[in-house]
Amino acid sequence: MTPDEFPRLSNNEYNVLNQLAVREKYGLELVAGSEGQLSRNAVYVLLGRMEDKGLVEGREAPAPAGQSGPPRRLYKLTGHGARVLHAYGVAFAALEGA
Amino acid sequence: MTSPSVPTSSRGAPTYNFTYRTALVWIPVTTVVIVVAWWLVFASYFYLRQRKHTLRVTLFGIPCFVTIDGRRVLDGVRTIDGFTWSEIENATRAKRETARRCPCPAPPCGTLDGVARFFWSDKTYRSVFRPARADIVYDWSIARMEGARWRARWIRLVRGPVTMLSNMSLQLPFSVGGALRIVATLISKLRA
Repeated sequence: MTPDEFPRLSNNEYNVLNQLAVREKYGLELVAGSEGQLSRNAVYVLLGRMEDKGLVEGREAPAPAGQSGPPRRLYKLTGHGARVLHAYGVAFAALEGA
Repeated sequence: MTSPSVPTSSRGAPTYNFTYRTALVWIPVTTVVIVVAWWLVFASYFYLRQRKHTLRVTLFGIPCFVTIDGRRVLDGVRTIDGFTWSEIENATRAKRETARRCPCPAPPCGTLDGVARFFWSDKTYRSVFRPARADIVYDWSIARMEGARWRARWIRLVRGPVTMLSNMSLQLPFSVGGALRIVATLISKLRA
């Protein structure tokens, strides 16, 4: 892999990956857990881009009993996303230790 | 000093200066006026004759001709969906009546959702716009269940549309960029 091929993450993407490393989450949960870094108006565009990059994977969650409306979408980390997150973690640790 | 003269024929009678430009403007205008006038006359006649349609359906719907004994000529004819006109009308009327009686309003942002579905691909719609609207509907239904009327109205009228429009404006550059990339690839492959 050349340096050009190394996946680049924005701050928002890194935040999303960190949150999804714990468990599957909805878009609004990601916004709530980002401590103001993510905007609810932009989170799905960001998640859509991350899905295109193969970092996260979304699935439509079944609606709870008695609730109608369009299905909400749950996001989880893919294998590639987990490796990218790990690589960034290692890189940060190395830079902090240097 | 001579005053500007009116064009006259050899016998001295004024002639009408009929140009191509005149025909280009006045013939379509006159045709449209005549057609609209006739349509209004017929529509008013059927509206008064039947007293079954709303005025909107009478003016903009397909006319149903009435026979002397009150039956409509098109009643026996089934549409491409397999329904008669009466069935369609009754269904529409029942739907309107249900909407009038039911106190529960439709979920927010239905129109913007339709706009997004129309303009964007199914994949983008499913990954960006549908979850965004699902969250809006979820928030709105929570607010309604809690009895927070003003919060529900705020979500319906302000926050929902703002969220959908923001998503559209943020997604647009990526979509346009993707489309341009496809076109550029096609052109380069055609040239090669």
